[in-house]
Amino acid sequence: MDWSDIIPYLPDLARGFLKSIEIALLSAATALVTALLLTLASATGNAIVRAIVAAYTEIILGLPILVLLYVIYFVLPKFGVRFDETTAGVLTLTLYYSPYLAEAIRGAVAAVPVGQVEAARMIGLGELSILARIVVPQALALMIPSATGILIGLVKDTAILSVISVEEFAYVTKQVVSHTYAPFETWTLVAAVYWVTLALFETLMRGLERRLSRFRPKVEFH
Amino acid sequence: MPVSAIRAEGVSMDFGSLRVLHGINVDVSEGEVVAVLGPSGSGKSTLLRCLSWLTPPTEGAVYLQGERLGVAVAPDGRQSRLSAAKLARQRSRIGMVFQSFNLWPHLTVLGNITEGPVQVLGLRPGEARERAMTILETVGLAAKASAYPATLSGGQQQRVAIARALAMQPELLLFDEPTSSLDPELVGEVLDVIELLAARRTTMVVVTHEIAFASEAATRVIFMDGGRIVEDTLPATFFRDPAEERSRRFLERTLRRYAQFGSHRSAEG
Amino acid sequence: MVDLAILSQALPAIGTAAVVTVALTLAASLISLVVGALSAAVQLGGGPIGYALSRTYVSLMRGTPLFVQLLVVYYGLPPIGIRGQAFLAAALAIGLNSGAYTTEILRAAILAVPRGQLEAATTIGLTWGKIWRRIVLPQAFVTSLPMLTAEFTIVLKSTPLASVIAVTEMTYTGVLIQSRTYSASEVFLTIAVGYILIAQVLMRLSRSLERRTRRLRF
Repeated sequence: MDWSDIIPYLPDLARGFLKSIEIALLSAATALVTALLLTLASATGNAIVRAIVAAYTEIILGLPILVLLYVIYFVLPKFGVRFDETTAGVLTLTLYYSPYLAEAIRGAVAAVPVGQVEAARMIGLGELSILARIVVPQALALMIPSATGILIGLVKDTAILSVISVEEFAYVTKQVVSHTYAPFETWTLVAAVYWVTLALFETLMRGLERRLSRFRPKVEFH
Repeated sequence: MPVSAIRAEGVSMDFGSLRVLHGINVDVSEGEVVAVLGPSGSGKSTLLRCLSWLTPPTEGAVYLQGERLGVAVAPDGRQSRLSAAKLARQRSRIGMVFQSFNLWPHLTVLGNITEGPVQVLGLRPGEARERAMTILETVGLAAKASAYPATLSGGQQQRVAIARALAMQPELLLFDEPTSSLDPELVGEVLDVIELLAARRTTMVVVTHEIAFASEAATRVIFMDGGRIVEDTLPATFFRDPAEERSRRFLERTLRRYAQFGSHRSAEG
Repeated sequence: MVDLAILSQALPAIGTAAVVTVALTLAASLISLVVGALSAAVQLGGGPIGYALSRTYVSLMRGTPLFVQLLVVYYGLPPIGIRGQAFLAAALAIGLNSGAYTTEILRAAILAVPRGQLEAATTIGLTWGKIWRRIVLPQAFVTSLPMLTAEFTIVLKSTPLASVIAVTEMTYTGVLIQSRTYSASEVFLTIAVGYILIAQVLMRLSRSLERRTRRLRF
């Protein structure tokens, strides 16, 4: 087998790659918004709302994403709820990853010392100002490491959408493999592309974290 | 008749089934510097948190310049929780300095001090900066205006925290063990600032373990034990001739330790 | 919407498949533990080359989709003479993938043992081998136990991917039944509940271990 057999299919692979990125960005955005809503619901909602959020989180923690995808794509239509493949995929990624992201947000907010909030209260800042001006700027920096890990998982799981024929990277690769008969080489190349992309993403997020937490000195003052 | 700055009436506080404050009555007049002393767990810090309404008491009332704190009283006498905005407004009139500084680490020293004046009092940023710089001069930290808190020593951070409280031009200042989390050699610089404020007749309630400060700078000493005020008197009387057995024992213990290890103040010569 | 007759017909097959799912989870977890322990040991005590090897392994496994890793392993086995072993390929791929996370868990747990203890151990004359076996590893094992159990929950949740290489675990069996009977709701809701139940067992175990080891923290 020869690697050069893959070359004619590179444009197809590139198209699939871009589709994966598109799905990942869209899902990450909707998952973050949903996570924020979940956090707000469990922080301010009544007992019933909190119990629903907790149950939903517990279910997602135990449910494989592939099974969630099958439920959304194959089961919901039986109840009259029908989505096209891409929408089902984005919905699955959103529903699956938002509880994990909500936990990252909750953890970051909880990591802001309560004394800082009390100091802000004594200055007379309103609760919304305290959230916007004291808590959020710090929580953003604090949540980046855990959120990065979760979002990397989301990007990787876009590959699972190939089982319902979303024409993303892994799906296109499967098609290419059926033409080249070079499965090992093709999949290795695709793995390398994922690896480089995610390494780049991780570097970007680390840079963002440094920017957002530039108030923390590298060397502790004593 | 002196004007009451802050007054607690029958303030009790329960944590679960544990009563940590038993019907405290205390009235602090304008210009008074009150040192609150007492062993750990005597309820001093809880009292301060009730006075600032950070922990609303289980029973009793607090009045700021005669105005009921945290509670709205209707003309027919019915009481309800004060709106969040009104409570925030009342709190902005009380300056509070915490044991652990509680500076906002993502803002510079100047940012910490101008936050309240700009966001709450509505000062223009330029005005607030000017006010902040004047106060920073007073606490000796003008050179650190653009530094982030994490680059400052504990003593410097606490002085910034005092400056932050002062920038609101509060009617009184509450200090919750302001030197307890500082290294011994840094205590002096913070006490100097508090003494300077005392000399200017700033109304203050200072929960502290610093006997020297209480005897030299305070105009009144309150000794607490077991969630009750045991003694409320002049510093001279308290230190020379405490009326209660409990105060006497506390003083003996504290002064013995004091003689052994020396005052923090001696550290700076 | 939900046909109980179909469900009762499908249940024995799903039950058998659940056993495969559990077996795959156990096999992959075991591989994960062995590989993770080796990789952590090489990373901390294997010099610069060991460190670089371990870091690259971790980064590669975390930076590529398990889906892709599974296919690379599946198509990589026949050339080295192993054919038709979908279960083995799945256990290997999932185990190797999880091994990267296990590496990180064990590494953190080992580094969490205070250095002062090692110094104390050297001063009473313990050799390095004994320090590892008697001081470091017992503590690291206990502190990492809850995290490891949580990681094995994730392994369980990864096993449905084996369906893409036709391992007859729960999800693939579900797909097969569904394609024969068109009874998606009965089948997928049942296996969803199956996974949640197995995961609950693991998560409860993790939480109770967490409580116990917290009391046991030396």
